[in-house]
Amino acid sequence: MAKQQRDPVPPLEWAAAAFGLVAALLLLGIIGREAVAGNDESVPVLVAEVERVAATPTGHVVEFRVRNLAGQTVAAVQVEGTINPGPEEEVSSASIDYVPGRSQASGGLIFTNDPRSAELELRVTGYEIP
Amino acid sequence: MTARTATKGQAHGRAATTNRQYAVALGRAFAGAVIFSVPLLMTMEMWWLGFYLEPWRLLQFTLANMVLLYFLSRVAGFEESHNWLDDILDAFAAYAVAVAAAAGWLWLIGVIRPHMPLAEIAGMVAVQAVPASFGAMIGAKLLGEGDEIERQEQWRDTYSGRMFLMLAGALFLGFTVAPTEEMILIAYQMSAWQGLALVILSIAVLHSILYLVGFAGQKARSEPGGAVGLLRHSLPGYAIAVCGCLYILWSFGRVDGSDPHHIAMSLAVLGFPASIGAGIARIVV
Repeated sequence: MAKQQRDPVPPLEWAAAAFGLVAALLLLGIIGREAVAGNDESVPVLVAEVERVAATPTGHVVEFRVRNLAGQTVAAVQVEGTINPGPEEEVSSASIDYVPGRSQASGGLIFTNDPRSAELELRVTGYEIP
Repeated sequence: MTARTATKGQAHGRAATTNRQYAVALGRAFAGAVIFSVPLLMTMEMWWLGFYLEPWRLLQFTLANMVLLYFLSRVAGFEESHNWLDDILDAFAAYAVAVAAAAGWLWLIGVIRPHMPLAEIAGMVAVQAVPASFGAMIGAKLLGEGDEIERQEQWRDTYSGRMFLMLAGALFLGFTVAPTEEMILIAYQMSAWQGLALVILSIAVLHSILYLVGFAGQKARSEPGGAVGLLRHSLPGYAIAVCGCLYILWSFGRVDGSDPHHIAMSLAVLGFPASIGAGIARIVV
């Protein structure tokens, strides 16, 4: 083989490299859009809402969902639910490891009283910035 | 060029010139990506980094990874490469393999879920693609088929090439522990004296591996050890390993809000596995 003759590059090498380039540009594009949007410093806006209530042998389960409306990711999110606020109230709480920015996470609260026949209050009481 | 034995050297050894040979090389890259990054793909901190790191940090980390891949292809790689174009193509091919392996695996183990926003998925895959593409590049070596490839990569044997190899080796071992919470916790637990002892131990271990211990696969060394070797290779190697550690810790946001003392302690901790990695660089990369 003559020295000046380059080894031919197989078509698969071009295809693999092209796929890599596309994958890189795609990831960079998606992440770059977030970088340009740049609302990482925004205050997290956390909304807790009831998904469904179910009676189980160990109590009434309230499944909830926490939505983070801002871009800032939060950790150790504490959710507290209260039935019948006042002297007769029953309080349960749960914590969620992570709610990434503009994402949601789910959890459950367990009550002894039936939340369907009472007033149920659900709110996020705190979080940690990771 | 002399003809090599066609039966053995068909798929590996020289640069792939047919689709079939390149497919075998890609398979090797895929195996390397999976072998190296499975522990990290199964590490919670690595998933979380994907969505809590600032986007600009992910961007610079991914771009730096591309540069690293190019130079890795120059010293090793999953197939022989003879010119800059081949090195660039191989770098992107390694990235392709890494993204496919990382995305596929994260989906399979339920880390990537259907309702996740695209940016979150992209972040997770981008973080994992860094170690996975590194693994893809050294796949041939991990599978014990690196010798033929290396013989062609002359940059390996220059001083700058050796220094780069030490950086690659440091990242090889450092990367597997850097994302864990334990790195920071260990640094908090240690006293300043223990930190100093760890730095000295790290340099001693690196120097011993480079000059005293002869591992199989290490090329015989004709250079002098002692003070000259310490100044010429071991100390620069340690410095490079620590710089690599600082870069990883900074990219992962681990040094934010820390005072210089705690940053130095974290570097002393992470510097230990990184020094061992720098020492065994010629065996693993």
